[in-house]
Amino acid sequence: MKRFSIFLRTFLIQGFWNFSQMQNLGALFVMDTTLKRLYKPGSDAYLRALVRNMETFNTNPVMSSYSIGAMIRQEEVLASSKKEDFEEQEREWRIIRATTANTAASIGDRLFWATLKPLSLVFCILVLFASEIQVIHEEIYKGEMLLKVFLAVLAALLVYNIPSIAVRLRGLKDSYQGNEENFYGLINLNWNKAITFLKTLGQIFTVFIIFYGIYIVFGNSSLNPDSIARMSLLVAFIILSIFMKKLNIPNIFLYIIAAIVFGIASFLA
Amino acid sequence: MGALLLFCAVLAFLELDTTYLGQVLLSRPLVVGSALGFLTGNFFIGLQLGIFTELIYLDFIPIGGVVPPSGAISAGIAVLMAHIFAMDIYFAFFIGILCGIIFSFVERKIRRYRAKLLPKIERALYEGKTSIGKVMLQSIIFQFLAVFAFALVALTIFGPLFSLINQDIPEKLHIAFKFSYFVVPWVGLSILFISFSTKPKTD
Repeated sequence: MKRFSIFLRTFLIQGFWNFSQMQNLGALFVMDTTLKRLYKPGSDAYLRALVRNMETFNTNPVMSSYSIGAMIRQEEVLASSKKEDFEEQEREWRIIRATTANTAASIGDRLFWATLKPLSLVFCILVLFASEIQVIHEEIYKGEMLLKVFLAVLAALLVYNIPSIAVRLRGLKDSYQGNEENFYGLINLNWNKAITFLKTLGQIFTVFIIFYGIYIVFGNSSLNPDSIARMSLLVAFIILSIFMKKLNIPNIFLYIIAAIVFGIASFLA
Repeated sequence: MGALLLFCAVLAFLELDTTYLGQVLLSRPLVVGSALGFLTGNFFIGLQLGIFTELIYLDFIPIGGVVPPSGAISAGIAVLMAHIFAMDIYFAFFIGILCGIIFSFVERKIRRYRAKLLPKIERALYEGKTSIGKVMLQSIIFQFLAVFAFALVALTIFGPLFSLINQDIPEKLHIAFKFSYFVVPWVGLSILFISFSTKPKTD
């Protein structure tokens, strides 16, 4: 298995994302080198493998390597299997493809999209705060701090990409060497423990950002009707946003509604 | 005009990372905002618009076939509106958010179009008339051009329109949009806290 070449190809797994078969052509692109290695292009076996690999596929792009490695292994089994075992092994290939993709998607969405991505933003804001760049304030710092901002953005990218690249690489190896017992490497790591730890870390840092932010914005303002009104509205919005989150309504609509309502109210006032 | 085309090209390239090429978060609003802010000389405005966009989009997760509004488009258009048309940051943010939502409909159309093309491409691959590498390259170039065109059209519509009405916008409306913008990070931070509060189910 040309691991590095396959690893690089996984970055294009969503290159032809479509509503009909989702990542099917992307997955074929990743598997292409393996198919050409195992079968003579144009042969019946190659064409059958091609059709098989164009079936519906969908998973989390980062965790896709956990499916790809297992599929490569089973493709090798298929290529060397006897005629009477072929149908059974092909059915096994489909089971492996579907089950690993579903499980990897569930883990990947929770770990990478719902935890690491927001956590990396939290890290960026913390680095900016440490550099005294108050990004959440209306009037932001306008000094010469280009390098510090660059480092903050870089920190956000690294916090996400170091684990994601490591998982892509490890996923290929673990799933290729894996079996049913360890669910093709997917249970080699305690994902839930990692997610819980990262979420707790995120919670602690977010609370710090909120309190530090309140201090920055309201710390120097005296208690006058204007600042009390602003703070009350802010609290109302925070409560509303929590309420909307519970109702599964994206908070972007809260912002749009607020802009429209305030706009209309400003004319009526 | 040359600079506008360059900025749109940068935005289109970074947006590819959202789905089609990479997924290494070069398309996150924080990066797009900072990059375009740096290129346009409004680095800190770009950074703030990027962070605010990212905070307000936190509760969109691209699971399965879900096509969320594009954070890259929102941040990119907002920074370019603020730079090219001297739009106030709070108006630019609002226009950016609208463009991000509109683009999600365009993206859905593109994905449906790809689904329509799929049987033809699969047949061509089976018959050896094309290669999978070529298909992927064409798909990525098509996506790049689609985003590029969208950004250009959005800027050439909303920008001059804003310039036309800018003088007549009442001060009250400025205050209303400014306050809505001021609320964004706080709403975003509360979403962030809630999203971190959801613990994984133990099996």
